[in-house]
Amino acid sequence: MSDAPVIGGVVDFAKGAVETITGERARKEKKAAQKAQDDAIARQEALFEEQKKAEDEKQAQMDLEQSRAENTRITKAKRQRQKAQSARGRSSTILTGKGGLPPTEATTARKSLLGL
Amino acid sequence: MKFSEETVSVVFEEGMDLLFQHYKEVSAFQDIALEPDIKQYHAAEAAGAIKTFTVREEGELVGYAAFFIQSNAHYKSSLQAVQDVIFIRKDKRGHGYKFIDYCDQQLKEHGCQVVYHHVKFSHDWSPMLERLGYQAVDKVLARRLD
Repeated sequence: MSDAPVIGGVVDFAKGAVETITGERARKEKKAAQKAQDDAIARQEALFEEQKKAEDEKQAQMDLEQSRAENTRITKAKRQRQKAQSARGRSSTILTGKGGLPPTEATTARKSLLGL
Repeated sequence: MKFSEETVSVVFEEGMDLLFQHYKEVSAFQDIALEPDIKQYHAAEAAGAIKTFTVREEGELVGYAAFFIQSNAHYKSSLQAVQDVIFIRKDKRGHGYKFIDYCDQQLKEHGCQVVYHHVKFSHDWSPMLERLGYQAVDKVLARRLD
């Protein structure tokens, strides 16, 4: 009588158990790896949103500063134009108004005032 | 400067500000918002379809390059790399030649036969590629449809 089939059966059973354990471990490892990847993606997406918000704020601030600078430039130019117009008006009145100079002399004087 | 092969995670975790600098400097369509599909990059990496290389100075990430690698549909036995992104921070430039050469050597070790780089007309650094032995083979054009 041989014990071989019994031994073989025991070996097969043990082998099956080992395979089950190995398979279970592989599944657990795969699941853990998947979770780690999902966590990494979620973390990186949050980092991106954070950076995007910071960049948007920076851009909004830059736009605001640019807009302010442009407004200041426009206001300054407008004031200078008004000032020049007003000066021209005043010099005309002074030179050619009642008691002023004759027209030809007024023109010469105006040119002189304007540095021409 | 230290060049290494790293993961896409490194770029997304340490180089987010670099991504925005890169976008602002070279993006052809600034009205199309930067919005990387992080999940897709991870999936590509898990499938071995993307390789990421970094430039570091004293440990700080100052540049990166990523290449999609796959066998060409026309020549299936030829593994080819297509540059997805490449960037070095403005104040750390001057090492691009060595970095690209490093990337090429790594890609060669990964079995790539050909490397493709796309270069913007507005930032044409193709002379550097030509010095490395690259030759112009394609022109890429884009048309807005919206």
